[in-house]
Amino acid sequence: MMFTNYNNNLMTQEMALNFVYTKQSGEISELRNKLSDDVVNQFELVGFITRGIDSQSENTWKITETAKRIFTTMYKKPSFIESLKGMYCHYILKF
Amino acid sequence: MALKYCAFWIPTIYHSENCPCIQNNISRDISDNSSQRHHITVTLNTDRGIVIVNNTGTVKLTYKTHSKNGLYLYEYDIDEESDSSLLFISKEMPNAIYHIIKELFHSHVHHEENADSLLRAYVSNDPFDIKSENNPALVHYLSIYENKFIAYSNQISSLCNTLLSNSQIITKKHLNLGGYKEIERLCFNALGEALFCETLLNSKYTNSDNHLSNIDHNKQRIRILNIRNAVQNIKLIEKRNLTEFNFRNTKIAFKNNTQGLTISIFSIILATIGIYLTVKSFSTPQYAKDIMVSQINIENELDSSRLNEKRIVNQIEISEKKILNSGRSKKRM
Repeated sequence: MMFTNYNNNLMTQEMALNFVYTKQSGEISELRNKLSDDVVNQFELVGFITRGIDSQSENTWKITETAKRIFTTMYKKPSFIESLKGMYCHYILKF
Repeated sequence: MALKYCAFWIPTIYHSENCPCIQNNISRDISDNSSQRHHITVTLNTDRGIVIVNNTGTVKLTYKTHSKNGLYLYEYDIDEESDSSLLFISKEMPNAIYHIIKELFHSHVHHEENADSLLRAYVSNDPFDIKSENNPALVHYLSIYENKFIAYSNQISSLCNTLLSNSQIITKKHLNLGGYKEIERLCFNALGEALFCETLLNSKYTNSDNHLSNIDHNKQRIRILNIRNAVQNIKLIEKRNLTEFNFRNTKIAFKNNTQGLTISIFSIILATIGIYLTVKSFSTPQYAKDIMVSQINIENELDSSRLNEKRIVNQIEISEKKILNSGRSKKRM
């Protein structure tokens, strides 16, 4: 899935999730500027981020456990053990 | 003072007369800022009224009515001139508070706990009827569900395409079976919510008849179509994901079995060769003869040593008898 942010840069789901994973939490306006309203709304609806709350507003966000799990399993560099399993399947089992 | 009207959708699987109350008092810190705590207590009264209390003020929600599809209508007053920290309720009902109110009636089944806090409660300055056809509260929740399922459909399909692309599997040498499980979990959450959404879609107040003259009805028809098609798309992606996951697992199992079988056959061949060589080495005639001869020699040596021992014993006995006899003859003398 590709989308354009406010700076007209093409972004992928990986880039957007990477930004959210790296930042972990912050101001919702900053996230909207970086990723666009559409993506922030989708991330919120799907449950990748939750809106924080203080005494006066709901202007903050934070990443959810679901988004952390998805980013680490889908986009993060595989661990040593995972790479070994992958190599076993690729070279020995001839996947 | 400003009078507000709020319709809470309590997710329910069945159309029923009353949503049973699960608990009547919940206290929670709703702030995610560790330096600025925000404790809130929500109490459900016997008259279904709800009281929201924090350390600076109280908001009372008066129960008006509810419909069988799970919509509950409340009315409340907000003093906009007060400096209460609950003032933010005057703009819209925060997700965190709506989430607590839902928990008074609803247990989290078929979805994760954080999944259903994402619907926004419907708040209006004007009164409305939740028992009218395509009422604003019903349309509001169906619109959120429409956006939600389209978002699920987009995100899940993007994840699925990434996972199935060759770059993830071949170039990184990474099988990523965990990715399939994550997609499965996301599909499960979406389809769990779709089950609750069906209650609203099949409500007698949801009209999807396509009257060309009625723009609202046409929008509602498109909304319902979008929800149903997004859910169907998620089901298809889930099926495809599951098929791929099972295919890869089966392929790994099959290849592992084949490798195991090859190793077993090789081991059996080696063992057979070993047994044959051992048997062959023991059955060599010269070697067997050498062993026989050496055994006979040993037995002969044993026999001759036994004979020698007997002879010596006999000689000793004879000499002892002679000594005894010579002793007796001396006494007689």
